[in-house]
Amino acid sequence: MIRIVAGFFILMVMISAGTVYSLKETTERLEARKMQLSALILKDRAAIRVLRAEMAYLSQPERLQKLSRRFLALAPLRSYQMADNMNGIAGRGDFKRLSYPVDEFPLLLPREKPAFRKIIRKKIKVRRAGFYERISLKLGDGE
Amino acid sequence: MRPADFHIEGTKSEAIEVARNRLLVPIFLFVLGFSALVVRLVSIGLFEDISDQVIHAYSAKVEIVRERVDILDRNGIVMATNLPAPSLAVRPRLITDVQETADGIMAVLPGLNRAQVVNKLKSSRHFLYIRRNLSPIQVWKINALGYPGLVLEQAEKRVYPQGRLASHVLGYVDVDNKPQAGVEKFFNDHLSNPMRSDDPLYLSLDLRVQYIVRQELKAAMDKFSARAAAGIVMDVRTGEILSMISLPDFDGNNSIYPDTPEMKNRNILEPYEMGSGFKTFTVAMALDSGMVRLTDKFDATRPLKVGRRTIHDDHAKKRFLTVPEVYTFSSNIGASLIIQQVGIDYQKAYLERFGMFDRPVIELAGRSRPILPRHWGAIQSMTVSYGHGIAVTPLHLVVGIAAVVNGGRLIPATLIRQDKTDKNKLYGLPRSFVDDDYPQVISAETSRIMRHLMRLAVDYGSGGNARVDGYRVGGKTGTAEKVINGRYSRDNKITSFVGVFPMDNPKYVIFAMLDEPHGTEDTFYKATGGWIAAPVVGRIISRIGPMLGVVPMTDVKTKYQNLLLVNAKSN
Repeated sequence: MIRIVAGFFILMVMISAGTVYSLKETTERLEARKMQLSALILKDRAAIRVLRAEMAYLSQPERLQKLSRRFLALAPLRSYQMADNMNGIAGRGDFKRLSYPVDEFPLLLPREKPAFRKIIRKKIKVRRAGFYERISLKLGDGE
Repeated sequence: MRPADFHIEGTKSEAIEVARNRLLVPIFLFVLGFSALVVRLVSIGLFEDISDQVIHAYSAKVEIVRERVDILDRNGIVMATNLPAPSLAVRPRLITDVQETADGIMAVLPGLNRAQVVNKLKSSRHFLYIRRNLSPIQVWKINALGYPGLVLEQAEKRVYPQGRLASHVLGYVDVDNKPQAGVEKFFNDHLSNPMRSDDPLYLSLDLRVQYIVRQELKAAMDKFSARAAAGIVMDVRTGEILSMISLPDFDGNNSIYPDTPEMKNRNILEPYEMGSGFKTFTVAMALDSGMVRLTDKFDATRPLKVGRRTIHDDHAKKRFLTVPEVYTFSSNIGASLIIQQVGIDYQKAYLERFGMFDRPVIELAGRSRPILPRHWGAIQSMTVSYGHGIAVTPLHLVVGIAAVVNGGRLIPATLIRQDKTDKNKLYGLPRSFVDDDYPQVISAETSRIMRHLMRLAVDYGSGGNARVDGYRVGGKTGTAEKVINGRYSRDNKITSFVGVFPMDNPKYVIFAMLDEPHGTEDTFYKATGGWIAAPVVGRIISRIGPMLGVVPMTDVKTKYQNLLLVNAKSN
């Protein structure tokens, strides 16, 4: 009887020792992996920091303004281009209600487009041509 | 035999008794010590948050090299950060061939002085720095040289990606990353704490606004060949500074020369006589104290003689003026007569409430005290009423004007983004989020009247050049003669304009000041606040208004126009 019990316990001890050993092994491996990952995370964060600094450097307002003047047909927002309600929109004082959609917002359409839009569009055309010309000159397919 | 049965009597028993009693003391001390440890352990475990960075650095067994926390603007754009920039050092004892090593170093870093490098390589010391802040490519080349005596030491450099844009607010750090000025110095406890590396400092500055203000001031400074310029944009409801510019300025990335004019933040460091801008306070206190009514008239027919001095008007109307007229036409005589009626005691009490007697409140070092008249008599009281004989910093004026227009509450200026939802973001500063906590310096009704008067001053008065299409701008010009060698100089002036917009529901105070501008043909050779500073503020408003989402409105009628007698032609 004692032998059986003793044998059982010895077996148990061996099994648990084995389990503990393998657990320790796994833990160490995980630990190493974690260290690796942590180091990677730190490295990536450092890289992100450098990139963010570079981003901030490249998006200096002064530089952006120069670039946008050169390459974009965009102008700074003017006060007359803003409105907090329909009535405030310049040149859109009268509008007719087309229909009542299912949601409660009535669809509002201007009767005609404000005059200044045409002017702006003209300007854009002229400047766009300049831009593409420059690009095509650069690419060498101009001739 | 049980121990309890064991009895010793006589002297031995007493000795044991004494020993036991003595033993109690160390036991008590040990218990105390360990309980302190337990308490600390629990508090560290439960209440102290460790930043991610520290955890990773700990588990990666890497030293945290990051020394300072980032500074961001209110939209999260990086204004100051730390980047790795190793230093090149040398251990002279490990150098075998001095000339060859020197050649190698000179090939990588051609800017160095060869003789000095050779001296360092020959030196008898253990460790010497050759060059700080190497770029990545230089690091790679030095490593490629492969000399064991050359050491690359990990270091970080404070970088300001925006260059000069916010130099006076940010301040700068020296070669050892020790802060020397600005926010860097004021918030050093937060910025130098490695535990906070994930918690950047959000400033109230808006880089876009900062850029616009700087550009406009710079243009005006060049155009009128002024010596210096300063500008502030402040939110009147929260006290947040959206922009603070002082020109000339410096670049924190380059070497710094303290005590040069570039280093001065004129917005807080230099008290100036503000001139007519001060009439705003004079009129506000007169109306608020109830001693003067809007319709009261003051005799401005001829210059006012007080003692040996005579007070003149720059835009003399030579008639009786109502209070709105005194303010709109900027009458020195009128302001003096108003303050005569209010009295010196009231004047002092009100100015003190507006914060004109103390240093300005803001999170920066180097704030200067205002210069007050030594003896506050009748004459001084009159000159102070139109902004002479008292010198305050631009920030004083801006905070005071904000209080005049925002309903009468004096809200201190701040450089930290105010986030009512996140009260932890105060970086250890006490600050109230409850509006009622700020002192009411003038009544809401007086503030409402003042808003109309400031609007009138732009519509009919000297501030006409600050008008902007779509926005109702109010404000007051200021022109003060500078004191040179103890006398007021006719040629050297300080011109300023303090504007508020939109006037029916004020959101921002905009201040612009130019030091010693010279008139040009465009301004008919006049160097006054109305000709020089007001257009700057007008242009700033027209550019930042849409950007900050201020909705323009069709004209709102300004009150008290009926109290103004103006030429039909002048409008």
